[in-house]
Amino acid sequence: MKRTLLSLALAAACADPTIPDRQAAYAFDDGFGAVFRWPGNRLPVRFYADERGPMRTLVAQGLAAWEAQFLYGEMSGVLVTDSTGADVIVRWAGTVPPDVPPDTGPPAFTCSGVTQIVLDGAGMAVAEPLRVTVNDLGGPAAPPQRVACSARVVTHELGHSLGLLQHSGQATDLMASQPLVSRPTTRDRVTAEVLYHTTPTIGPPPR
Amino acid sequence: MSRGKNLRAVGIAVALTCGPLLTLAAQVAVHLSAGARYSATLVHDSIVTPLDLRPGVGPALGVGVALPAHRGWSGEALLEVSWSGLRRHDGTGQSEDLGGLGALSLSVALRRALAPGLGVRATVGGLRYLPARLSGVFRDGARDVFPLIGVGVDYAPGRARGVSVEARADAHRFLTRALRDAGFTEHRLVPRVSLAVRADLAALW
Repeated sequence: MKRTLLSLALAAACADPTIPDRQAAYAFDDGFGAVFRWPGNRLPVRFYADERGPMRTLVAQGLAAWEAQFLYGEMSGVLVTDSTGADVIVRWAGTVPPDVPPDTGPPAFTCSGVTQIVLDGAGMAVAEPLRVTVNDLGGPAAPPQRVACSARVVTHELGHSLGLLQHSGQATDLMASQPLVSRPTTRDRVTAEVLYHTTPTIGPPPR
Repeated sequence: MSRGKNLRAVGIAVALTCGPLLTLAAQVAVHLSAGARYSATLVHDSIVTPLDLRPGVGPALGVGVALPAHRGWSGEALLEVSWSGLRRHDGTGQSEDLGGLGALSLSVALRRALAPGLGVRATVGGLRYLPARLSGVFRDGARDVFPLIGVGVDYAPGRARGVSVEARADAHRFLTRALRDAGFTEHRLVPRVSLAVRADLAALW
């Protein structure tokens, strides 16, 4: 009896903690099975942000939000001041919202964004720096609402630039086609984690 | 209890508290130690493939004070710091440097002399990690103090007065807020072993 109790106690003390179940919540390939992510030898990824308006702050915040999703140093980025040599270039298209604190109320859709990834002729590597463009639509929305929209869209587009090439089907995820939140959700995090432990089939752009 | 009795009780308590301390203050022995420590895996995870987060072998320094032995038993207090690189070891065989990781521990020990120059000790205390970067599993800070228990054996060769070799093993349970947020619910038992040379300062002087 004593020996059994001792064995149980030792087993309880030495047993490995249960590993959380991780399965990508949504697809991250390009729709045809090709996978892109930044390899370890290209970290930190260099981001250049448009110097007008609040873009630099928004990119810094978006980058920090994504970095915080990784437990084991799989992804890191740095803001650079020169677009030459940048891996990802983030710019405004058209009007630039004023540099004011973002609105914290319900989301207003006053902006849009796009991430452009150009592949080489063989389709095996990215040919040039990734380009993220955020389009502030202006309109009747208050400046804080416009900045809040830009913040959501910048972080969403940074997710694409990290390799999340598809949208989540869940409207509450940051990577939904029309993001309602400004930070990655658990589903976004798990998908990004799985991506950064998956062997990429598309290489990074040359430096 | 009257005011006079109160004062007398306080006086006795002070005498009991301060008397031995004042006597012992002149008798404590201070020692320094230097060696190497190995720490086992802090986190075992599996994302597509298994991976381990593990500090490597690194230097360990310590300072301690020991009370005089009484019938073969003595009490000690130990402050130790160790430093090593933190690495992620992937199941594919690759590993990634995640920066430095320090560990600071404060513990009290009970030592039993077994034979001239040979002793064993049991320790309890607390350990706090000092990561070089507040990121990853330490992204929410490293303010947690983990309870630490350990055992050790020391041996002083007859001719090496005041110098001894010490082997220690200890263990603590590790879990951070970032790991909790990622879905970990249980602590992991992390054993560490160290080998050090210990020098009594009195002998050095």
